[in-house]
Amino acid sequence: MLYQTYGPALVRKARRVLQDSDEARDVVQSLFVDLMQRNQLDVDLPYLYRAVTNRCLNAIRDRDNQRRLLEQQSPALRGVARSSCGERVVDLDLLTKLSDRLDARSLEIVVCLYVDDMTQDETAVLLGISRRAVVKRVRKIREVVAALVGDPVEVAR
Amino acid sequence: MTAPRCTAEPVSWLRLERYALGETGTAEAASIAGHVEGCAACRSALASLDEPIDLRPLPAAGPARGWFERWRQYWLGAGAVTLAAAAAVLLIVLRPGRPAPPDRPAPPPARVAVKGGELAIDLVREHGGSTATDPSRFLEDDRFKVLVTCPPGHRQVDVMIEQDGQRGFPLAAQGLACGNRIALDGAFRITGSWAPVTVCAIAPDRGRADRVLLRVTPLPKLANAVCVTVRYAR
Repeated sequence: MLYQTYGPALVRKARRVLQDSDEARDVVQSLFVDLMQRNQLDVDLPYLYRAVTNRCLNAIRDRDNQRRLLEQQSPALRGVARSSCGERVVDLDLLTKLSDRLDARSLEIVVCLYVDDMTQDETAVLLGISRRAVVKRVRKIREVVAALVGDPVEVAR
Repeated sequence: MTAPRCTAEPVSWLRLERYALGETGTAEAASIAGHVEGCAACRSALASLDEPIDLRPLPAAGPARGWFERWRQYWLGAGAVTLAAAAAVLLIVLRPGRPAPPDRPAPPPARVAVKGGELAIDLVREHGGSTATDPSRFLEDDRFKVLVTCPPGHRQVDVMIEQDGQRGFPLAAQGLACGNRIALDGAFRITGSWAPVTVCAIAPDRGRADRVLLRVTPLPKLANAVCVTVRYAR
């Protein structure tokens, strides 16, 4: 029942990150298989959202996966992009580049802010860290993105 | 790729999903609805949640389920709300029962005076060959027809139902030569949850109601709308 209730929302989220429907469904299915095996069914959508983020980022970090994901990606599946890092929408291409340059926590923040369109406060709550910690990492993230895309660094989001 | 501009700070996808699932409280839901009403980018994002999603099956686990659970799992597998768009009987599957948000404001009444006359909604319930007018209850396998009363003239009428904070459109929007208790084409059934269902007929003076806006407008604020609520008959 949890799978039927939250599955579609999680597939949509995974699809925005991986830009591939089959990959997204696989990620969500494997998450719930693991939850069932651990008998861990008292979870809510925020928890699951974060779990899907991490699974997607793990898939992106894997070199073999990266090549395959980039080859088969469908940019349209990125969906309505309502926020951006500087002037750049964060898509699969940028995420794969960032995966070599940012640590796991910073990548999570990138997905929260620029793919899931969360505020810094929401991101802090979801990740269980202070807003100040998010702000500090955002500065670094924006510098790295600017260096990758050649944009001037902006101070405010 | 250019990003559509949000009017303020975007409502995050997580908040939108929880809103669509009926998991937000009244204040949060009102805040989201208010923002979405005035922001095309977020409205588009919310509308995109309507797309049915096919999930991969999970490995079978546990004892065999009863016929009802197997049937419900079949229908829910296609996504959050599944509508069979046909002129004949439509099967409406809404989310499993979830407590309604607290302090839920009342929807519009079943009859309101409008310019030129009255706007009203009536339901006819059919069950096992027998019919009941103005029902207040529903049972599994009930079939509902919607009757609309509106002042003389032509109107575009749409029917929206809400259950557990989820909304759907069981019938095609249709033009109506107004009169007294005119039956709309099509019928629907309610299944999947036994929470109360509010059925609204929306009949603007001119033109057709925007379904995207209808999904996010709080029921008491629906214009040119009349509603009736039916509850599960235990």
